[in-house]
Formats: sequence, structure tokens, C-alpha cells
Amino acid sequence: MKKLLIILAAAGLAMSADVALAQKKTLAVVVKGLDNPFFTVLGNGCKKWNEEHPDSEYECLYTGPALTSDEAGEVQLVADLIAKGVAGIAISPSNAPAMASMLKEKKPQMPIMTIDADLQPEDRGLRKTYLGTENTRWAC
Amino acid sequence: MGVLMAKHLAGHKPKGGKVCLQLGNVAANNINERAAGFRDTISGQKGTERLTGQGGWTEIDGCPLYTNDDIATANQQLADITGAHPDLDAFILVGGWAQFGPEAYSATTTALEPKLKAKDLVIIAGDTLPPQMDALKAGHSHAQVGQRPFEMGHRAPDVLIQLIKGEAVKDPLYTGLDECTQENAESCLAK
Repeated sequence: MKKLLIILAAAGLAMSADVALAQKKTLAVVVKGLDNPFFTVLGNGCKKWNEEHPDSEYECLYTGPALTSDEAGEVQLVADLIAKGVAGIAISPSNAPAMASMLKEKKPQMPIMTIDADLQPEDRGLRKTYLGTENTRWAC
Repeated sequence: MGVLMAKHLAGHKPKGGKVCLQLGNVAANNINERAAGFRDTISGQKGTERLTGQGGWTEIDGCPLYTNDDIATANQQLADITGAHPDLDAFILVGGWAQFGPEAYSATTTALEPKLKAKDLVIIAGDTLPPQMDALKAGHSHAQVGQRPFEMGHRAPDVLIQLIKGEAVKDPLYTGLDECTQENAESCLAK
């Protein structure tokens, strides 16, 4: 019986290794909502990166709630990606305080950055960097 | 970005006047920062929470408007506020929502054409997506300050990989802006 269990465990390990090899690691880009044409263009940038890096071990995944008004949906989507263990997440938070409190609770292990919109100043320790427009000022 | 919106407005209306800002939702950090940049620049005073005459500009009652990022709401608000306040000097789309519904936006602004042409009413808007550039070229806005969303999506994977590898990454990483007016509309966008 013990032998059988070992064989089964080994087979299981081999299978999961195969799956892991076949699948690229996910770099998720989560926007406020897929209904905003601004974010469609942002998603095109993510797709272009995949086309330019066909041999990369990573792939860019453009995602977000269907509607920009679904702030809670966006927070849940990011929580799900954290639970799945994706390689890294770039977030454009629709509701910055709500996103921050979820991040505080989940304590994600993968790198988190913001894109297009940042967290509130007091929550910026929760993300590694912000990539996007300088909204307040712009030095020409 | 808010600074550039203010600069374009000041160029059209140096004496000031009555203004209404259209924002996203109350918790959107990027839009609120943009509004702060606009108010500080147009008033000449840092930390201006609401324009009450600073720099000649006053925000009318009922503004700012919050669209909750909804395109139909944004257009309804634009129609309502310009209808109710015929003496409004400037309408600022801090984000481009209303212009993402080109038919409704065009219907409202076509009715306002004489005022827009005479610059009695000046419209400054965020972003430079195709329907927005069409609106600018049609004379339905006076300036568009465009972000670079493609660049954001294209650079994000490389930044995440650097972070995964534990490499040092600058914070923040700013993407550029394009300033489009009716005069340079054909050539203002970054290639």
C-alpha cells in the first residue's frame, strides 16, 4: 500500500511538473474596467509585449472587471490572482483605499506595482513602484 | 497633467471665469491628483481645495461632477450643466469619459458650437484617443492632454520582471504626455 502511494505521489509530481513547463508564468495587468477604451489601448501594449517576447518564460495577461464602476469586482479579481500565485501584478486601482486594505490583509508574496493610477500616499509602501502619468505636475 | 490642462485654459481665458470640473469617482487617486494640479496651477496657490475666485476662477455650485467612470452619465452631466449655466466659461473633462461616447458628446457640443467657436465656453479634456481627436478637429474641444496608455501596458511586463529578479526599480516611473490643440491636431501625438 505504501509503495502504491509513493508511485501515485511520484506520478502526481511528474504531471504537475509537465503542466508547469507547458504554462508560462503570468504577469497580470489589472485595469479599472474593460469597458473604457483607454484601457483597451493599455491592453494592446501588453499584447504587443507578448508578440515581441514569444520565447519568454513570462506572459502578460490583460484583465479587469467588465465595468469600471465595479470597484469591488476589481479588488476581488486581484485577490484571486494573489491566491493563484501569479508571478507579478500591475494594478490600476479604481478604489485606492479598498485595494490597499485588501493588499494589507493578503500580504502578497509576488511583486505588486501600480499602473495608470496609484494608491493613496499613505499606502504606497504596499507597492514597489508606480508606472504612469505624472498627474499632479509635469516637468516639461 | 492637471498643470497642462490649466495652462491651456489660461491661454484661452486669461481673465478667469466660471468653471466646472468633471471627475471620476471619489476614491480614484489619479483623477483627484489631476484635479489638484489643475486647481493649484490655475489659482497660483498650492493646496487649493476649491476655486472660489483665486486667479479669477470660481467653481460653480453643483461641481465638481462625479461620473463614476460612466460614459452615459458623463454626457448627461455635460448637457445638464451647460444647459443650466449658459454663462459657464470653462468645462474641464479631467478624464475623457464623455468623449468616449462620441455620438452623445457630439450631439451636446454641436448645439454649443457658436459658443465654442467664440471661446465663450472653453472645453479642455484628458486623453487623445481617436474619438477624442475627432472631437478636437471638429472644434468640439479646445485642447486634449493625452496620456500614453500603450506605453504603460508595454513597459509593465519588463518592470515586473525586474522586480521579480530583485533589481532596483525607480519609483515612480513616469510616462509622457501629448498636448493637442486645434492647431497641431494632425501632428501632436507621439509616434
